[in-house]
Amino acid sequence: MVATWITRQLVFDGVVTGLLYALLAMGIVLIYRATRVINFAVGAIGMVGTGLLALLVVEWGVPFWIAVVVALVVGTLYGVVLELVVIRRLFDSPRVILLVAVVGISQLSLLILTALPDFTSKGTLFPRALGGTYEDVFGSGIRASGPQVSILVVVPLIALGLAGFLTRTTIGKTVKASAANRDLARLVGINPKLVSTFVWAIGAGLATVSMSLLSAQTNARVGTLATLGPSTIVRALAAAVVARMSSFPRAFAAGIAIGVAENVVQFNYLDQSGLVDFLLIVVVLVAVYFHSRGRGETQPFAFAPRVNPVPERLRSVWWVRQIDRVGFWLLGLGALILPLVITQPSRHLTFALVLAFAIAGLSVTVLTGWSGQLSLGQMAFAGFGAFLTAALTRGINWDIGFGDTTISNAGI
Amino acid sequence: MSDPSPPEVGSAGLAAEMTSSVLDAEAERHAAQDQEREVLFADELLPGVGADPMTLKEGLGLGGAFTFWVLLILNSFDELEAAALSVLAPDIRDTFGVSDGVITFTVAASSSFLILGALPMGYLADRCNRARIVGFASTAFGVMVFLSGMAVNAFTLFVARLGVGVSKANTGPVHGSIIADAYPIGVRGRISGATQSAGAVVRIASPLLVGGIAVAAGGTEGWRWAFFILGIPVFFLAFLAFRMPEPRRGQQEMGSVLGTVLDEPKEPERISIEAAFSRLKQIRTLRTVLIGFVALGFSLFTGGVLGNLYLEERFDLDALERGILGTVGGIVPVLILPFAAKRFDALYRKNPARALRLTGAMIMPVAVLIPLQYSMPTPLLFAVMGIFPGIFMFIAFTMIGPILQSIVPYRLRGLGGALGSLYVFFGGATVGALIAALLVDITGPRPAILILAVPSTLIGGAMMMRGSAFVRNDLSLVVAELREELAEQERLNKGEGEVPALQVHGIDFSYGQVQVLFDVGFEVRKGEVLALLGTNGAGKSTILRAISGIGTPSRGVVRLHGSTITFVTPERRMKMGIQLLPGGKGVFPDMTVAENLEMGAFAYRHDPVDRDRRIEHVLGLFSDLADRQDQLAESLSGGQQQMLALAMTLLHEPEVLLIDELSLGLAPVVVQDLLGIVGRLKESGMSIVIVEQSFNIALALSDRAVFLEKGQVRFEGPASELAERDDLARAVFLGTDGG
Repeated sequence: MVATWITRQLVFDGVVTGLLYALLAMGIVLIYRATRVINFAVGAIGMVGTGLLALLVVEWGVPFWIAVVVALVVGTLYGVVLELVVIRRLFDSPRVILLVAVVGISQLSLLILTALPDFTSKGTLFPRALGGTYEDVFGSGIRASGPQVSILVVVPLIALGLAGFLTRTTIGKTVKASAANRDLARLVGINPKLVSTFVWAIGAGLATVSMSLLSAQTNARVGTLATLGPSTIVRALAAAVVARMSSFPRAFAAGIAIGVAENVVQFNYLDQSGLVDFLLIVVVLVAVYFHSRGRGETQPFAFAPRVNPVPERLRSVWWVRQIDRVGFWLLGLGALILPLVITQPSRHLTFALVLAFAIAGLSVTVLTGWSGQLSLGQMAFAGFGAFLTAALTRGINWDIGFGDTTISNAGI
Repeated sequence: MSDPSPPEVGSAGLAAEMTSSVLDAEAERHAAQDQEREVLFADELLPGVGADPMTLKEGLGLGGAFTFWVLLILNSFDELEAAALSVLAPDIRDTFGVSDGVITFTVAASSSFLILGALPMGYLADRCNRARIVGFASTAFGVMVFLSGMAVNAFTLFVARLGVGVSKANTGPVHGSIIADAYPIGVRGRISGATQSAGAVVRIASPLLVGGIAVAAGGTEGWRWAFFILGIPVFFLAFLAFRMPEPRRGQQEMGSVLGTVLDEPKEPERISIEAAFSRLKQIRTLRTVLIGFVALGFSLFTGGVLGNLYLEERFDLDALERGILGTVGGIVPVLILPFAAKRFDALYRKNPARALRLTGAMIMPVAVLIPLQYSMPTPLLFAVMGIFPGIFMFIAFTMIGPILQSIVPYRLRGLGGALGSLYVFFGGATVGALIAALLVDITGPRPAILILAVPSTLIGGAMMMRGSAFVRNDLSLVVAELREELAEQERLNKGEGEVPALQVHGIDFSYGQVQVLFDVGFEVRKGEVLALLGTNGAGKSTILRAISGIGTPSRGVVRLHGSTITFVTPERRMKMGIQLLPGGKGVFPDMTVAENLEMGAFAYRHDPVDRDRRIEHVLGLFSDLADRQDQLAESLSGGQQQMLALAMTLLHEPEVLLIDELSLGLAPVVVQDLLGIVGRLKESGMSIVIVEQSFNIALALSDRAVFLEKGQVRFEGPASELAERDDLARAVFLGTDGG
């Protein structure tokens, strides 16, 4: 019987969560289409306005709807500032630089969130428009919470509004136009930089709405908001990739599908916490595979930064030729001298950590410089290495997740 | 290479020949780029060089001393106000009951808010009445100072400080711009010297002044009165600032170089920020000098804090003792400055490069003096040794203004000044402070300042000295530009011929390091069709980019009906009547025909009736398109796409139409159609520049032709004459040297 592993309630909850992924995915697709930046910081960006909303309502006693307006305005303005300060500076840079900048934006946003004043009672629930729960909605046997109802109302409205705006209005169409041909857009009087700012503003606004709704729906406590960002964004990103980073309807559908699937899988395999993420990567890989096949590699996604060759005149100067090696020698020398100068063991540990990170950084450099690819998962490899080292030296028990099977060793 | 290749040469031979000819061409282009167009004028012709010596009083008399005094006093109040905040910080902290950290942060942040206002102020200074900007900004400044006094908590104080910082930002870019235009070049050093001296004196006296007010007012909230009392004279000064005369931009340079001041253009050129920056980036003196400014900021602003920390840690001095030492160290540079400023002016009059080189050289010894200072055994010796680096740094800092005023073209002086502020206060002061803060925690104040100051001053000084090597060249460019303007004005005044519809003069253009256009110039008369011909990569499309505004030339002017538009945005040029049909990329492929036209008519979106009329009109011209409005542009044939692109440009009823590669990849029949259309446009009186690979097409249409090769004009004249020049014609087809 079907109902043993899937119920109406499960699907309903999945759709609601999926709507949020869908909204975030639309934000990602929009920004990618207009500026060719994969904005995986969108969740973190949304947390700035979300944190402010909580602060205004819970801590400063501002009426809910006023606080919503303020948070939305600030969240949107935050997107504008990011575009003006970061993205626009790098408008003509290789995309790899922009991707790194997005990592920075993500960190910065979380930093801003934690820098907001502390809450006096961290356990307070995140503010919501509708409280309570509605049992047996329309006799369907479904139970809906207030925040879920908000999502069901708000997200489709925003999605329809955005789609209509982008495809039916002149201003909306400039987004497509300036992405397709920047020079031509300028020639007809569209300012692509303004469009870029505008798109980031919308993206940040969408993110603020999504993250606020999500915080309310998951019954997040105001003291622990910072933990909401990353896992959500992985799902939204997957939906965006499935939509080939270009189609809004597809992104929307994919978001909902992922939400439902996540809910069903989680319910049926409660003890397998990593399974959803594993399935997601499979979905993304499949989507990317078809994406590259379908497009026939028309989209040059060159990551490798251009390096200017050393001018002829300078190449004859010996120290210019040696300059690469000089850096290495200096570093090596520094590593030798450092332990002699610095005597506290705690500092040794710090510098050892610095070096460890530098080595991880080096591996990314090798990858980017030589193959033109950017790996954001490089620390995962490092973590894997650390795990193995620990396993070999200390011994470890590893529950690999199939029944009672465990791998264990006692160390060497 | 003049012999045509013998027919029996196989394909391998031909390939080898082509390769070698490409390599030859490349080598030649490199050679052209290396020698560059060195426009070097004799020193006496450079602005401000070789003028008669002039006393400060005489100089001020020429521009009216009013402006000078208003700006000087305003600047002093800026300094006083900034000092007031740090003096009053402990009282403010107690009133609001906040931590040391919060108040330190507020004080530090308010000085860095200056950065937020710098660029907008600079932008305005290049466009609007500057006296009014100073007036409004100073009024805002006064209001914000008042609000600082009225702050009810740390947050409102923070907001007020934000306002203070932004409104204060007018000092660097706007004051500098007015002074440079109001007073002769020969007294710039001394004016800056006087202003900075006054500021420094006020800064030194401020603890007494501000503290006095606070104590006199009494109570825990006495500090508020200091701000209120400071605010009142600021309002008065702001009122006076509105009454300053607005000097003609560039009049000092014009007077010095041309001996006359050019007429004010009817409509001021609206310079786009993008173009302004790309032009500023190409001023080599500026590029190198800016790095020197960062070094100055590093040492000047972090030095004070770190020095105080060091004094406290090493010699256990309290605040008062440190203050006294600081005052002693601060007074001496002020006493020396007037002499140094006079010397700078005198040097500049003889040799501007030397004046800059010496300024850079002043920073260099600081790299030695600071380590010496920090190895002194007693506080007194420390203070005495600190005098010398203090003098050098202060003098160099004072000369930033005059240097910027001289090397930045007068049209961009506001933004140039803003860049200077950004580098000194953001690159130097703010970033320097961040690094210093990190270093102090790890190493303590003494190693921190050594690590910061020694390399930064060495590099900074060296960069400024290196910058001096480019000064003559950059100033010569200013001269060349002014002379060109004068010549143009004289020509117009004499009434020799009509004003050409389009005028391109002396254009150099580079893509990054690679220069592709060298001194390209031509004119297009009203109703004329000009053909731009040339080999592949000769720079034909590039010149169209420069005319339409998508690219900014590194040198030269573009004029439309006599008004200069070199730095105007493409959006604005479109409204002025220039349209470019970009070769092969003239449509938005994933939009329908109707959407393409909607985008093309973007500028008329506010007036739907007018927009629909225009779209209706062009659809009438291209009936083929009218039936395919819902078809995606990428699904159209090549000829139809080109028609759509042409239709999009014609929406604007342009006066000058630039066509890049009309016939590329199209069937002859289609080309014939398009030619017919262009012919009709010509008859309607449109001026057209047409870039073509195909000789015959170009010559069939055009009245005159310009032949470009390797970025240079090789031929200009009637089209019929070009047709007789076999050598040029062959060059186009064979890609060989045309003789």
